[in-house]
Amino acid sequence: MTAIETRKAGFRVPAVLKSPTVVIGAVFVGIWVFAALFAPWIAPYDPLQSRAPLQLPMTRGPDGSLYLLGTDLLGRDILSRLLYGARAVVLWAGLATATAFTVGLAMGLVAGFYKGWVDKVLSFIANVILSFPVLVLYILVIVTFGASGLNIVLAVTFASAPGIFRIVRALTIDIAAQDYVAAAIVQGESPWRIMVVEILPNAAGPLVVDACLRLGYTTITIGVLGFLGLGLPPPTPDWGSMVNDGRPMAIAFPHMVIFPCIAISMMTLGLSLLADGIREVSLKQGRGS
Amino acid sequence: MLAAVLKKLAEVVGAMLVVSFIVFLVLEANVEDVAVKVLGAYSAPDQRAAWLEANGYLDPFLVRYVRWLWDFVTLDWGQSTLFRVPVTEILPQRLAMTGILAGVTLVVSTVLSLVLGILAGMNEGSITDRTVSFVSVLTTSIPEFATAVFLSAIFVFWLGWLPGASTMISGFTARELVLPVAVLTLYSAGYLARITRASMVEAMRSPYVRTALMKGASTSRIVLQHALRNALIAPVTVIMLHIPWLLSGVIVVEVFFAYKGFGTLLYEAALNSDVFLIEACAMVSVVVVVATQLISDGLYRLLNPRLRVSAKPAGATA
Amino acid sequence: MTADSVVSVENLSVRLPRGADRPFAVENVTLDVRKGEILCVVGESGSGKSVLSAAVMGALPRGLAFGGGRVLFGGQDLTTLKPRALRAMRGKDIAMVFQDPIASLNPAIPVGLQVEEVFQIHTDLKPEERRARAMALLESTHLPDPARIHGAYPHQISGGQCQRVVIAMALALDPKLLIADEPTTALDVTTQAQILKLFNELRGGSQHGILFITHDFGVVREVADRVAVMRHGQLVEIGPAADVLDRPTHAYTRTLIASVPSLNPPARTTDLTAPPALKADDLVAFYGPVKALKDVSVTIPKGSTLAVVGESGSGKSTLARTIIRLHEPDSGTIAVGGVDYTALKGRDLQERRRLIQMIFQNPFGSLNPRRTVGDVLMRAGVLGGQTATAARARALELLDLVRLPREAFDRRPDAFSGGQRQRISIARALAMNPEIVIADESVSALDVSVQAQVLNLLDDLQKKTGMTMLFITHDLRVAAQIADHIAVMKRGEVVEYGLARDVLRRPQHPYTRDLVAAAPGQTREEGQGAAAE
Repeated sequence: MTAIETRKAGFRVPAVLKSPTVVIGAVFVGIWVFAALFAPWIAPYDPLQSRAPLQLPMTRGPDGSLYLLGTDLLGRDILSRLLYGARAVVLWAGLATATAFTVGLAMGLVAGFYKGWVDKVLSFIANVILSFPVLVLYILVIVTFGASGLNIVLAVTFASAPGIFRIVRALTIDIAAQDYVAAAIVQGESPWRIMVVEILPNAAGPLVVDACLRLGYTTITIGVLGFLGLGLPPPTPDWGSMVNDGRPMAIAFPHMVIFPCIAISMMTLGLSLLADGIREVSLKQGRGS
Repeated sequence: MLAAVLKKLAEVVGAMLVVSFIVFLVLEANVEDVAVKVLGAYSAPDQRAAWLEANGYLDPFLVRYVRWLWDFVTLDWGQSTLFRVPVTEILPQRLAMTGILAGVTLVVSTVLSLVLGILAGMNEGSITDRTVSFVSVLTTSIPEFATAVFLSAIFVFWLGWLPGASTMISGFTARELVLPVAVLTLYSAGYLARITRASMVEAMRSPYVRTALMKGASTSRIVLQHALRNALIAPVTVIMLHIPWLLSGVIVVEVFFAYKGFGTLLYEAALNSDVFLIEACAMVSVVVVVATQLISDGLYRLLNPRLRVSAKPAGATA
Repeated sequence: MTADSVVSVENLSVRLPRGADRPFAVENVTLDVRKGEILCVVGESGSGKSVLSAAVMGALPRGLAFGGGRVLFGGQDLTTLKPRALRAMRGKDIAMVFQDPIASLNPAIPVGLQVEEVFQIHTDLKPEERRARAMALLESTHLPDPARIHGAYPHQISGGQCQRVVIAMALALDPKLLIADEPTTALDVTTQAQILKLFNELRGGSQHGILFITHDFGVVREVADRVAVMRHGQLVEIGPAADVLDRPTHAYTRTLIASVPSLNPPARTTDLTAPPALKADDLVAFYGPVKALKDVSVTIPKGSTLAVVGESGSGKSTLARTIIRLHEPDSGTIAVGGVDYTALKGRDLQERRRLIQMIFQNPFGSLNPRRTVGDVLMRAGVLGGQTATAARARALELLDLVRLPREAFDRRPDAFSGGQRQRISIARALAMNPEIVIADESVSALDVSVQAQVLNLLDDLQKKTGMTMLFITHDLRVAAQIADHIAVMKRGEVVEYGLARDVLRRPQHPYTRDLVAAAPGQTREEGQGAAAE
């Protein structure tokens, strides 16, 4: 009776890395994060420089330089633009998601822990924002305040924080009903410590999954805005804008649109796979104990 | 029951009021801006001042909001600066076009996703389940414009089977509807199939399915009579809640295929700062979203016997 | 296999998936169920009793596999039967009753139709006949107003009624074998008594045998003709009820039976003249729209234990949560050692919280899985006003006190069993040096042998520390072990309140009498108890 059961509680990180879904997802995402970090060193050319227009993939230009993925209408190397484009996506999608998460997390914890009128007010605000179709909201914000990275961060925060809020709130209510939270209250623990020490760590699993998905949505959003011509102002290369630029001539030169589409699909698919894999692994671990 | 419906209705009306206020605030708080947008960038300052005065723009903000709201309710939606006709003249036909696109998509993707989701969820972990799960992750992860590019590359550029644009200039043709519907379906069916699958898996694991199994019920009876009735509650509700997502996708797909619907209208209005048209489009989309929420809520009540029948237990004593 | 056996299990083994704590869920078990008898299979959690019942149904849970032996039923081996043949048998020749009656009925189908479904599957009866038969079945299980019940959804009737419906469904085609897996565990004790009575009726004169799985020796005493005791997947002992219960041959059986709390425990020697440590007066509290506490008053003399006993919905847990200020009372006062506990607010309340501490019900939900035991205990000490060093020393002392090894300090909760977790919870409560400890169903989730150990520990700690205890439980037998006073609650009111011995021996209120009578396991034990005295 007094002996402690020593169950082999597998270490978390290796368990996640054993899942093929997670590995494939991580590779897809990792490639572009790497590209974003090291674009200046791995890109063959300057992404803004006009070299030879409308070169097909795997061809050499008049000056003999090789264009692996071809060039666009203005003669800019598509591979270089994709690699530099990853910077815009990783930076702005990451920043926007992080901001949205911070806001949603804080609101959700407070609403879920205190309940009562605080919860009612915050939930109402969230419902109001959620009754806007997201894209209409983005268009409205961008049209009014102009297209810039910072405005995208604002718009994404405004539009996704309510969704994050809902998830965090539901998780918080769930965890706050656990007896260990009651025990902390009964011990006279301060509310913020209860939220940070007792509740948040136990919500981490589902939140990591959600963060992956959100990062994917935000990547899509930035892509869609670029595609609609409402994205980052030129000449910053971003994948959505590249599709938009190449679209008029896509029938004749499909490489201009296909490669950016593959890039963004890899990124978003990678994030989905990561989310799925992590969820699966944590569910299995939950069932095991 | 009635109280719950009224409460929901009040919530919805409240949300719509707040949203309308935000729309108004964003687009019409700065009256100078409005004048520039309506009269054009080259209009003279005194011309703008006169226009503002004539249209009551010098009144306090709240007064203008209430008047604007009233105009909106009475269907006086102003003049489109882009098309030079009243907004109410152009909006209905565009909405109808989008209605066709969204309607067909909804039917196709609902049927597809329910069938796939049920087949996958019936046998958790089977090959069907894994395939459906993987394909749905794939289709929901790829942005609509990328799907559109890929499908166009295959069916327009490579095989040459389908037209690359859906302008419907020479009248309505089903051929031009295929690609837009396919793109939208791939995204939304994947999402719905996942929800249906999860719901089905949960039902198949439940104690009442075990009871049915122990009664000697056949697999088809267990699925059709027992699991499905409970498993469909979530997806049916979600189908309605999914419409706002669909609306976002519709904008992208319409712009991509140059389909003359509500999405392109909003897009054109936004690019050209057509204030009144943007306002009308925003408000219409909010009404659509809110209506779907109400319908979804109603469906949930209808499907769930716990909510449909009076909540009072018929006999509390054992 | 004797001539009158309905099913015989021969050398049956069921293999657990790789990586489990042992290779077999059921190991080399041989037993048979005979016509007209109830065979009780009894064991603690992890004994393999539920897997055995599933194996007899030919429906092993996912991941488990037959590892040898046979289950003979009507000349056929159920472990090798084709799914189609098994299906034809289920519901007709073998039927099953489950633990959670409400969940085992389909929430979207009226219960009467679910009974009729059995006829639909196995017979060609016409709809009117099916309905008539279903009505008759509902009536035979003593359901009131069968016509109304027939059309009701599961959520509209009580748990006890749901279990009667499930039993009616099981009996529909007069099966030869009825398997009941913990059929009364989810029910209140008075409802349990009625369902057990129904099972006793089922035995009489009938041709079927009943395999009855339970963890509760009290229940065994009520219904069993023969008893099989299981432990770690193995059959420890099997024999006629009288032999196994009163003259157990195996040491494990003896320990188990000795652990079963009795309604006639040895007298307690607590000094009941001490001044009250806790005095609650006229507490009124609402739980949603329901008035969960209706002017409840209790007083606990310092160093003694008051047990509050009641069934689900009696308000006993609301009382605990109200006294500890997890739930706000609408009126009434709570005095703790001269402090008006109800009047405390904000920081004041936060600082005085240590006066009353609580041990919770669910050992798996009451410890934060992310924090080490040492961290939890030290933090409690620090919040109780100690320095970090003092709190650390005290935490180690507390581990000794609750009889856990000191290595536990650096472990997280998932390294511990349910009983060990409850010890940690007790240590956490004591770390704050509280005046009063509230135990809310703190031993209900534990196996009976572990339950006895934890009850002993609590009693011991009370003697050592002089703490005052409020013990909330649904089980009168548990209350009898530990209480100096007993308060019986029903629908938010205290219907009876007095010295434990008086309440148990000479219950005044009719509801208390019902409760005392319904406590399982005393029908025969009572006689022996009297004889022994």
